[in-house]
Parts: sequence; structure tokens; C-alpha cells
Amino acid sequence: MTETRALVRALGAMAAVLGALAFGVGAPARSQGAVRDTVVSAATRDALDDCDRGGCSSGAQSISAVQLAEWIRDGRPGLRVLDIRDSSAFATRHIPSAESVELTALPSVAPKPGETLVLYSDDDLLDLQGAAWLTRVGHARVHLVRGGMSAWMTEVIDPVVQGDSATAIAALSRYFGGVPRAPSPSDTVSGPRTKARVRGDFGFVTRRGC
Amino acid sequence: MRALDEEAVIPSEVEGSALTTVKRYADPYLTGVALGLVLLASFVIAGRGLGASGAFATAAATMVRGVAPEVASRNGFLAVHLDAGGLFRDWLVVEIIGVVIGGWCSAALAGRLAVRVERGPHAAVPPRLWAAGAGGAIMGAGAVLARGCTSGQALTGGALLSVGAWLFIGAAFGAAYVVAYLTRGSWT
Amino acid sequence: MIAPLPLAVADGSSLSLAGALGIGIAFGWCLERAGLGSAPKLMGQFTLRDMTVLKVMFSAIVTAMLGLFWLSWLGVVDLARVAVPPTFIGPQLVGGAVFGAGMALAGLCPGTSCVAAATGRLDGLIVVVCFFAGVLGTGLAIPLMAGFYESGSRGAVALPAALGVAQGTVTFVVVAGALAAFAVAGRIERAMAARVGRVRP
Repeated sequence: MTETRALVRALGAMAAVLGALAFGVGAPARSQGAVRDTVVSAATRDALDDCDRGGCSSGAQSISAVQLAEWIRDGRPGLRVLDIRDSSAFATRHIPSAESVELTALPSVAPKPGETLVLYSDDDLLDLQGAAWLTRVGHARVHLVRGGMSAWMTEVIDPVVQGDSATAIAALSRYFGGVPRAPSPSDTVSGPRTKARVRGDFGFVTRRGC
Repeated sequence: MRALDEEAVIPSEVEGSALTTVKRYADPYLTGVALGLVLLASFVIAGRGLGASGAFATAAATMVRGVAPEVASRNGFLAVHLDAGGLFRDWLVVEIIGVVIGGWCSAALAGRLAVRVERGPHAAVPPRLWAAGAGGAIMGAGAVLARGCTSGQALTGGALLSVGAWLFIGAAFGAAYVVAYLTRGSWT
Repeated sequence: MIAPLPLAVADGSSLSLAGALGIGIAFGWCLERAGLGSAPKLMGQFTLRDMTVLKVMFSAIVTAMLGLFWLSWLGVVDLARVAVPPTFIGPQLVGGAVFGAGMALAGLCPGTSCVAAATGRLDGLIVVVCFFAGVLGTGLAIPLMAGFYESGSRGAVALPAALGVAQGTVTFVVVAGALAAFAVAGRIERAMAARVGRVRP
């Protein structure tokens, strides 16, 4: 029995040492910085593209669903995500951390300094209307999600990943419980790779279980 | 300093109400480390951790789909547990089958296989079985709400430092201590 | 980064299921070895007489957590590809409490009830069957509480990000906390044993 005791004590000591070293090291991935840079420059590129397409002049820049996902994950200060669909759509599924605000209630959302508002719905016209109202009431930074909720589903929750940004997008997708997949030659809803997605009233539903 | 498990005066190290001689259980710390290595292997090999309640959820969702497919696909909980490949191609279902096999093997090799109702020293069989049933059903409700159980949330989520998992651990342990105190007669 | 196996090894492939089976067998083995397939032993934790649950659980958490940290640091594992369960604050607090209450009544949790049932324990079998019924019933009722069920969603947020500290810091705190808990657990067991004495079979 004392060998058990000794072994347990040795393991405990090892854990203490490894834990202390972890405190010293801080981040578990040496390349974490590099990944972050790639992700940031892609987002910046996105925003610049928007300005080129005239998104800047309307006072409400449209951002991609991926950009919003990054902002939520990174805990962008002052971020508020507003879902302007009706409450049953919100209850069924919404972007994590979003608040449900009816379109007509938007003008009563009081501006606060340092806030970044992001609107989304299923309808581009509603988004533009909502953004216009918010800007008129005095909000400095208002954004729309290009493609709304369906873009969130196809670009973040259920993305087809390939190319340089594949790893970063896949990681982002998984953060939100999504199931990224590599492009397949025959994109049909059958076979082991697509088993994770079920088309129903929920659109693309992700498979996650504990 | 006297080592704890050599001359342990821990009542439950003597097997329940059994009169047969059985092998002692393994050291909890060593077994815990072994379990941690299994969990680590799961992360490394499968990119995911352990689980239990998810297998039951998939079974429930599959059953509902078999009877009323529209109900299953419109339900936010059941829909995410549906599998186009079938029940036995689901990772968690196969894993839980493994749990049953592994548990059986370990008990068989240790002489701990026995058909009986385990209960506290002063508890009768019928109340024990009623409590087991009620407790099981209540756990089912909790596991659905929390998206997991002690294996998926506490163990796996805990090791991954998930915020929700640690909240789950606190809430579950807290509630368990309260209910155990209220029902202490059944176990002591 | 060589692990986890790349997306190409698809979910549901025979290889991934073989892994699931092997991992499950090892999981069940460990649970039974520790005695957690026995309800009275498991409940010893919640009557403060037997700290096995705490010792096994936190040893496992610390081992896997340190393993992930250092394998990631070594470049062997890509942490970004490990699935972290998403956080839903309200449902996980309430669900956790409900779960814990049920566990204390049943004397077993879902995983350990499967082990108990496998080894012949009829109470374990009842827990398994009724747990399934509870999951089925509650699952069917989810549309009635869809608002609450989806509330407090934060994505797969981990403590380091939520608290704004480095992962290594949280890792260290968890390790230190676990070791401290083990020390306290030992004391509690000895104190309770002195009070209660040895149980006669």
C-alpha cells in the first residue's frame, strides 16, 4: 500500500510543478499570436471591402457574419447584438449574446458612448430601416450583418472551409457549436460527413452532444 | 503520518451490505489519473471528450423520429441529436456501449458481479427503487437543460475550462449535498 | 499539429467509432475500478464519509487539463480543433441543480448507472431506464420553454477568456485548488470516520 501512497504523492508533486510552469508560460500555444494576426487582417480586409462598395456612406457598415462571430468571441468592448426578428424566431434560434428588440422599438434604444451596435434579421430591407433609425437617434457605430441569420448559419455554424483561412474559420465555427466541413465533390445530404447536419424547420442544425 | 487507505476507517470501502469477500477498489487518485488519461486520449484521438447523457438524447430523438418525424425535426433539443447515419453510428452511443462493456469486464475480473439492489445499511429495497426511478427521471430533466451530465459537462467541460461546465459543477454538487442531507437516512 | 485527427477522418466513420468503443471501454473500466458503480459508495461523497467522487473527478480533470495544456504547448495538439461544450448560463445553473438533486436521490449519475446496471445492480438498471424517460419527456417539452432553454448563450467560452486571464493562470489555480481540496478531503474523511467508526457488513 505504501507504494500506492508514494506514487500518488509523486503524481501530486508533478501536477503542482506542471501547474506552476503553466502559470509561468501563460499561453499553451506558441503560435497563437500568428493565428490571431491572420484572423484580424482578414477582418480588416472585410471592412475595407465594405467601404469600397459604398457601405461606409450610408452610416451603417455591413459586416460579415464571420466578423461578428470574431467580435463576440473576442469580447469586443461595448458590443451589443440586436436581433430585430419577431420573438418566436428569436426563441427558436438566435446568435449567441444577441438581444431581441422589435424593429419598432429600436428608436427607444438609448445611445451610450463606446457602444458598437450590430443588427441582424432575415430581411436586408428591415436591417437598413433599423440601422437608419438607430443612426438618427444618435448611435455612432451601427453595423448590419450581411445576409443576416442565414449567413450566420452558412458562414459560422455550417461553413465549408478551405484555403488559408480554413483553420481559423473552423476554430471560430466550433466555438459557436458549429460543424465546419471540408468541401466535397458531391455536395449531397447523405454519407458520414454530412450526418452532422439535419435539414428541418431549423435550417441547418448542428450536431453537438455530451 | 499514517497513510489513509492502508488502515482506512472508511465505511464504504467495505462493499455495501455484501458478506462475500471481494477485491478492494483501486486507489481513487490513481484511478482518477487513469480516467484523466482516457479523457485526454479522447481529446487527442477524437477531438472531443467523454459523455453519457448525449447517447440517451440521441436514442430519444431517434425514437421520436421513428414515430413522428415532424415533431423531432421541429424540436430544438431533439433535432440537434438526430443522426442521419443511424443510432449505432453515433460516437456517444458507441462510447456508452463501451462503458457497459468496460464496467462489466472490470467487475468480472474483480469478483464484483452480483445481481442485487445496492442501498444504504438501513434502507429497504422498495423505497430505494422508487428513489432510483424518481432520481433518474429528474436527472434526465437536468441533463437536457444543461446539455450534459457529470461525464460530459463536469468531467469534459471541466477539463476544458468551459464556463458553463464549471457553473454546472457548482450547481450540481451544491444541490446534491442539500438533497443528500435531507435524505441522509437512506445512505447512513 | 498532428492531433486531433484531421477533419478528413469523418465523424461516423468506422475508425472514429472504433476509437469511441475503445475509449468507452476504458472509461467504464475506470469507473468500476474506483467503485463508482456502487451507489452507497458514490453517495458517501455527499454524506461526507467517502471522498472518492471528489478524488477521482478532480484527479481526472487536472490530468486532462494539464495534458491538453502541455501537448498544445509542444505543438502536438491543436486546441482550436477540440470541441468545447457551449455555455448557456441560466439553463446550466438550473439544469445543474436539478441534475444534482436527481443524482442524490438516485445515488448514481448516468455514466455510473450504466456501469452499475452492467454489473448486475438492479437499482442501476432502474436509474438507466428512468433517466432515458426523463430525457425523452423533458426533450419533448423543450418547445414549451424554448426561450429559457436558449437563454444566456455565450458560445464555447472558457474561463480564461471570460475572466480575462491567461489559460496558464486558470490551469494553475485549478491545480492548486484541487490539491488543496484533496488535503481537506483527507481530513474530512478521517474526522467522519472517527465519529462514525467502521461499518459492520
